[in-house]
Amino acid sequence: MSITSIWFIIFILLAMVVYYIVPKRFQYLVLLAASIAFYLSYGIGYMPYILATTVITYAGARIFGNPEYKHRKAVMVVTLLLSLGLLCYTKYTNFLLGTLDKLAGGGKIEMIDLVVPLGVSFYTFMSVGYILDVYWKKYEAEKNFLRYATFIMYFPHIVQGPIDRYNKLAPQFFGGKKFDFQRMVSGGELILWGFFLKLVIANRLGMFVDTVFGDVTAHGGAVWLVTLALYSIQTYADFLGCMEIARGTSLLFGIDLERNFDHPYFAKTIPEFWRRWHMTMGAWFKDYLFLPVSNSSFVKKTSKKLGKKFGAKARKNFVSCFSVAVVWLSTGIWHGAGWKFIAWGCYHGCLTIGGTLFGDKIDKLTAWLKINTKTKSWELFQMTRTLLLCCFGRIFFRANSISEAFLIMKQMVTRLEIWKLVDGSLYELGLDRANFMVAILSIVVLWCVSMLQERGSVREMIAKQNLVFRYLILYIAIFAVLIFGIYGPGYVASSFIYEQF
Amino acid sequence: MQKRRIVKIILFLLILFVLFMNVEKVFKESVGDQAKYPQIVEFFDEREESLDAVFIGSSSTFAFWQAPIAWEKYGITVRCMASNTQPLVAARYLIEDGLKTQPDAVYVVAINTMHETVKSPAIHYLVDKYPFSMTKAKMIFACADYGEIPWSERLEFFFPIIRYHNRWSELGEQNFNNAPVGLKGGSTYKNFLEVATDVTEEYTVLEEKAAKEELPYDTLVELLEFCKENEVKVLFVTNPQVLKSEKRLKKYNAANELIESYGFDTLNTIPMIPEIGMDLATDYYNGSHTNVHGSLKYTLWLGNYLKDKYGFTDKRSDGDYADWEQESSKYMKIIKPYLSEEEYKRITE
Amino acid sequence: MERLLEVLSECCPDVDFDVEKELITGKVIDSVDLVAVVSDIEDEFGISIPMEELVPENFDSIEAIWEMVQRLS
Repeated sequence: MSITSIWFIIFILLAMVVYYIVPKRFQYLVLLAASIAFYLSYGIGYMPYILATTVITYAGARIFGNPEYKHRKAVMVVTLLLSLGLLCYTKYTNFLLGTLDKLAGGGKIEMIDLVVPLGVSFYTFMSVGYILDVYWKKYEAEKNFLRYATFIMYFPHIVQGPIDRYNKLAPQFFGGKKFDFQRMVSGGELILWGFFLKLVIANRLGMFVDTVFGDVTAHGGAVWLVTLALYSIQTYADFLGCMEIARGTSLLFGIDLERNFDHPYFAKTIPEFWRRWHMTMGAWFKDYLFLPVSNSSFVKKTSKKLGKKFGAKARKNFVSCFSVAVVWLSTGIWHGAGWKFIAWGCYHGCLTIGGTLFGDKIDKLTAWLKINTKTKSWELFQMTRTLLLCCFGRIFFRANSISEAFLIMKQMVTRLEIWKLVDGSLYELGLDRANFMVAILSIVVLWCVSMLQERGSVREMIAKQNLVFRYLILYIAIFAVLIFGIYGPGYVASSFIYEQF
Repeated sequence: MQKRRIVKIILFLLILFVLFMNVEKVFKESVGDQAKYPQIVEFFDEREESLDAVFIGSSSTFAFWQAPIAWEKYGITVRCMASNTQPLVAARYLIEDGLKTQPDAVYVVAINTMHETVKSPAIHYLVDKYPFSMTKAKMIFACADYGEIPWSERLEFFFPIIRYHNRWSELGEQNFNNAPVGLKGGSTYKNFLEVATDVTEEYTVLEEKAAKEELPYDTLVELLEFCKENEVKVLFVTNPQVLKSEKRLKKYNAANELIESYGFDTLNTIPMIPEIGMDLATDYYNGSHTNVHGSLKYTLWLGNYLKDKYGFTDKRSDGDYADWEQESSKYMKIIKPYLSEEEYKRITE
Repeated sequence: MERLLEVLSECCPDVDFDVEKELITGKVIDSVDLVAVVSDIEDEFGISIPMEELVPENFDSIEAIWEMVQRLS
């Protein structure tokens, strides 16, 4: 069931009732049961995969979790390979076959009918994190299978993350949660905010973006710039909305999930952006890929050799650039089974590596140009620059293929058509004038809330206000979602009649 | 939890409920279809035990039958309980609801609705402004089951705002205006008043009957059983549609046979079109719907038939029926410019 | 310990290892510098420092590093 549906609301209300009725030591079982039900609602065919990963990683960790065990490393590697193998098999097999087929001339290799289990990228990463943490003796392996399964299958984070750590999340399941009214309200407000982000902002902008991307060659540079800007907001609102719903839902059960966003569009550099966007993914790649790769003997030896030849700076640069390259290649692949995602990963990898290699040269240039880097205008410039760089990368992400991405770039450069911004064409691309206005207004609301959040928790600010104001905000939010949300079959007079036939 | 908190929660939910109901009221009407909702909804405005008969059917029913014309001529109170593309499966529930306020009325059911496939809009036209009752809920489920509408898509029949919320940008004054249309369900929409299409070539009469498998057999039987159990006075009419489709005509014949086998009265008016006096060149705006001219003739003919068959009295001098007098006068004023002098005289004399 | 100080100073000449007591937690040395530190220590003392030892407790001060080195020798 979709997390922005009324059924989901009913589901969590029911789960909550049971959760607070059962004895505290069984509360995690309620979560497990709810998670299984939730997962099954997406299709019974997905279940074997997540079960397999859960069982394999649980068993593996139990075995190599014993520090005295002779074959720790071997078992860990096998467990890792199996877990990642399941991910690669379900997600990337057809991509590989498709690529091989293209190389062989086309039409020779058939795709396999595979399901991609819900959240496979997320729960696999969570289980891999767990395996490595246990192997590195950060904590002991979980003995209770059901407790471990609750962590992996926990329904708020199964759809789109956040990618949680076992030692941070699991203890919260077994703490025994008492019903707390203020926490309910807080969780409810987060969910409502998430609904607003997804239904009012993201889905609405999606109508515009989908229309433009639906006919790539028909639009000029000006329209593309607007589209990329709106797409950047759409993707942020969609992802953030999902995260807020996940966090809010989890809060209803008394469990805190990690934050995944920290106002990324206020970032001043690309590396900072990636410390604010999809934070748990960044942290995961840092702890479980960047660090192990940097500390691999290959990197250590090679960097030392380079250091001897070219100096300490070169040694450091090699370590960071090589590891960053590996991480960004992996990040690209993780985001989707397609060459465009790899291209996107490489794009951001190049930006990051470029920043490392040429960072001090750019600083020198800035100083030489006598630019005052402490002013607000410079900060604004940095934020805009970062935004534009990200927007540009999004062409790869959203286009259907790399070739389409280049086609779009060509359109942007060869035909600006700046008049399209003011002649009303923008109201004919999926959103009429009224809806376009609502879109802009809702983005302003998002911006205001983000600015407020920089000062502190908005929910706490609301809680401090008087009853009438609190109720008013809630009613406005509820009806804004109800009326302006893009959901359901929708009503268009002319086609309503024909729907009948 | 403290008492104060519980009170606050209840207050919050109560206000939310009231707001929700009022917001939904504004949204749940498709602009341009206002002409058609009153045919079904304003049935519930009628005084208890005031109707001689209730005419159940789809848009063709409220094109064929004009209650104010019947009142003007005969002083009988026969109004529609009809909605656009109404499916036959709804009839049983409409009768059930109707019986609550009109237990002695004759229920005239147009079986022309038999051929309708049930999709979401048909149910919307039927239920959007229909007052809530358990019968309504059962009707929604029966229609949705018949149309094989998935459960996840049924919530919009209980909460139409799910379907209509995106209408916010086209709301107008009429959406905030709750005044009833009145006219006792008489039709005044453009096609009805202004259009005439020559349907002479399409007029077909058949005697063959379709096979049992082609009928919505279960629906018919359920309806018939219901009428039998509740001893409903019911007349199954086949409105005089001009159809080329032999399949449909055969189904009507087969259905009528089934109905008669249950001992109920039928009236297939399709072969009687010449007798009724319909002019196929001028009286229809399409094969399934008469315009004002055809409706006039049919209403006068059928009104006479019903009055004689069921002994309906002339209530024109009865003070209790002043509302009928008032609404019918209004209606006559509206249609007068579209009628010839002779047609107008036929009604008023 | 003298040897250790020598290795560290060569590796990170800008850092005063006598004074700094929060090399990792205070972000005096970042994760990339740490690679060089680990690599040089491993070579110098002939030990292997596994991933689980790469924690702030073992690297925040020269004393902590020395303790780890001795433990792993």
